[in-house]
Amino acid sequence: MKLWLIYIAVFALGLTGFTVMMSSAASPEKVILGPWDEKTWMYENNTSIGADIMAASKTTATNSQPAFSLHEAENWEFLPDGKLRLTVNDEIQQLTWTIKGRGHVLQIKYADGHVENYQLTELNKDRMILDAESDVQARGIARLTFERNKTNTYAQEIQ
Amino acid sequence: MLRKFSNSRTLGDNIRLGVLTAFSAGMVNIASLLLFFSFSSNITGHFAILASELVKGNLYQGAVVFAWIFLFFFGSFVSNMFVIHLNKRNAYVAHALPVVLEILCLVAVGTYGSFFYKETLAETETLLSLMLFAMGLQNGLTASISNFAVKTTHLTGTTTDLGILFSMFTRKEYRQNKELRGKAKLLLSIAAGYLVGAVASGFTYMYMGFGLFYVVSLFLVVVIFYDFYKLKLSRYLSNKRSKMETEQLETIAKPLPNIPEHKKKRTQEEVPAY
Repeated sequence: MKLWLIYIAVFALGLTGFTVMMSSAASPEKVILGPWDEKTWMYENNTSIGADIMAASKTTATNSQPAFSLHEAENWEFLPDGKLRLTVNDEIQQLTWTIKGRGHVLQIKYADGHVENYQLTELNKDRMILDAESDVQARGIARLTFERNKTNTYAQEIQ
Repeated sequence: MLRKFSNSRTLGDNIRLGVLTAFSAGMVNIASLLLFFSFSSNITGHFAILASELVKGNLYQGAVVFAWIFLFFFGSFVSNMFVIHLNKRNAYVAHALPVVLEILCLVAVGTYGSFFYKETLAETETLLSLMLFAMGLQNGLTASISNFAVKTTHLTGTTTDLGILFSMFTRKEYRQNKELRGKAKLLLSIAAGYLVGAVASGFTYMYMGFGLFYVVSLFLVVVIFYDFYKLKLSRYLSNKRSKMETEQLETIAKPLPNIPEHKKKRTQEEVPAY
């Protein structure tokens, strides 16, 4: 009888720890909601592309650069219904987004079925870092850093 | 494969069990990676990820990974509970129940994924939880009934042991050791089964998507029914043997012609001694 009590206590302790951890942090699916401004775009070799030359680098992609098209967008807005609104040169594109794994992979789908996976390296209410993935186990080949656009109500809700 | 326990198992029993369960584990692990971007049986990796998430302060992700590790542990716990508590009543049922539970988990993942999955994070985490529990059940069962000789959901230990064994085989005395050779054969079979399952999973995923969980379940059904068939067959053979013996006895005891009734009786009375 005493042994069973110990077992139950250990399981209850684990369950409590899990509940406390889950309730003390928001799901990445909620944190990501809202508009984000793309700030920097960095290659794997840590050569940061500054804001001034960022636009130029995007338009002069070499063969060694990844064929990710999303980096052309300046503003990303994650909507709660799984839609992603991209603003590219004042033009708006509608895609869909999902978060996979333990909340560490952002998957973006285009209307034509093309899929892009990004590793959510960092995600909090102010900053988001995405690693464009070439392989699930490998670190990304390009890093995109975003900052929260605080003009939108989503940001206020999360704060 | 399932009905024998611990030291009464032969190398052949362990190889058959190891290959089939490693094949299904390889399939499940790669399926979870392709569908959900997370492994379902790489517990060493999950421990490392848990530590990493805690260091980064990602409590939500940490909690999810903690739950996955716990569910693998709990699967193993449940499996061995069946084995140690039901083994004396019916070894086959005790050993088959964890596999039945595993099949139920995998069929649930396949069915939910095929018909209801909306790709939300909560669904992904829950389906992965089921898969980790299923892998815990499988690993707990195979390890438990084989006296820890067969572990099929991850290959860290297997690869380590193979490294040790092959280094031992550089000496003749170890090369000639039948037990060590058998162990190497078992571990190589498990590794090969896992690899073939993983590759098959990649191809099956392309054509079937979530339907591949039905294929894995089918392999596990083979594991269950192989022993069921063997049990039935041995029971059928023993029944047939005793029936034949009875028939032989009846033939001998058949009333002989032209023998008076009192002599016939005597003859029949003498038969039982035969």
